[in-house]
Amino acid sequence: MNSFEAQILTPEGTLFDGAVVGVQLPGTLGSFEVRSLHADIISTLEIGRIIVRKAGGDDLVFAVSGGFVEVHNNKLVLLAEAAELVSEIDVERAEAAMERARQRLASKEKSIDRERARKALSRAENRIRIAADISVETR
Amino acid sequence: MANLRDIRNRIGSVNNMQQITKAMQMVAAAKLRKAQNRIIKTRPYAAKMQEVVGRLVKNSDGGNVLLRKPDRTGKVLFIIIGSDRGLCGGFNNNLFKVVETRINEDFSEHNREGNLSLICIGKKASNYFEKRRYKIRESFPGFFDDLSFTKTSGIMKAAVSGFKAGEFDEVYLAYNEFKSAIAQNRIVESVLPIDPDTLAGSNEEESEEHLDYIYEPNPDAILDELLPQHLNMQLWKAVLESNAAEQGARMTAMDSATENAKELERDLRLEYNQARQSAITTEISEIVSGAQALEGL
Repeated sequence: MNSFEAQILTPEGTLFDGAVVGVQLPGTLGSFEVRSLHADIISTLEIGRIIVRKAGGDDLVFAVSGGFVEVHNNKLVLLAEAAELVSEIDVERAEAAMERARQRLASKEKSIDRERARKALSRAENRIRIAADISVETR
Repeated sequence: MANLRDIRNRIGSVNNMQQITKAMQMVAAAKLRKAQNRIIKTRPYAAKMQEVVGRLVKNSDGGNVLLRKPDRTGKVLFIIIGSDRGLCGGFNNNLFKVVETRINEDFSEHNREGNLSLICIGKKASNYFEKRRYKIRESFPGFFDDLSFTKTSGIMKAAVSGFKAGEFDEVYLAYNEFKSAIAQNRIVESVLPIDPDTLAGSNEEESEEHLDYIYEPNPDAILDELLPQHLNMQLWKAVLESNAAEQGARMTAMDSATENAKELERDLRLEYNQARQSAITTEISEIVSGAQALEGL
């Protein structure tokens, strides 16, 4: 299969840089997969899961919390606000974050930024879900 | 004799000082390396972001709120990035002076009428501007103890929503850019409204072919999402630059402090030896004259 170059960048550093045969992405208009010779595209991303199919045959799974992707001249660049390799997800921390967000949403105080709490909640849920998926698959 | 002991004590304390400044220099050097790595890691992201945003802005109709120039500049916000700790030479003061000059040149009226507010990052920044009675909107002491992108994004978000709500018409960012371990560039740049010219890539003819991108969902929605992210990135990069520049400044400041202490120690040692020599001379002459007096008997 034809491979192409892909890069995953976050503000904290480069997560992935190498040859791939496909990248599955959580686009704003729905999940889609980029293969070699995809048309030039810029799309925003939702909170979700990225699957990088490496040219060598392995799949890498990342949890991503929004960002956007650009494909230009058969080269994919993904700029994520935050992303991590599934094996590096700290499930305990994500669970704590989920609990915190739930409490914030449940309380009736006016000063709470509901939008932010809701986003934090879905980020944490996303991480937990993806981490759980992987541990089932590898079993 | 008391004189000799005094000098000895002083030599001891200068020596201690030297050890401390030397240690601080080495700590700063280690931190500098870390800070430098961090900024090198961030640069590709920031560059790519700027490239894509520049392309999008060029292809848009300029209708985005964040791109709109105000009719007149009523209210101004400055975001100033200093440091939390001192002992880094002129790092903070030089920057603050540049900021004050800029304020006096362009916004002295705004300042007088209370239309100029500041966001201070780092303890030294808030101390300096509080003392000079500027209107401080928010300050973040202890910011550099735990640097995170989320924290800087929060600050930028507040600035952006303030801009949208018309609380300020222009936002500026002031920080030290890391040039090398011994040199910093003091930068005051405009952040909002976003000026398309500062984003635009260098090659003009390229813009034509980019028109046939697929945009999902559509260019304006993407721009809505990207511009705030780009601003977050701009602040994050500035914070990292400043952090690296601070460590560099501290390293050089401590290096010259160590040098000075060495020189002081040399001088003191000379003084000590001279004092000791003259004490010995007096002692000898006392003994000799005592012996002579005995001979005469």
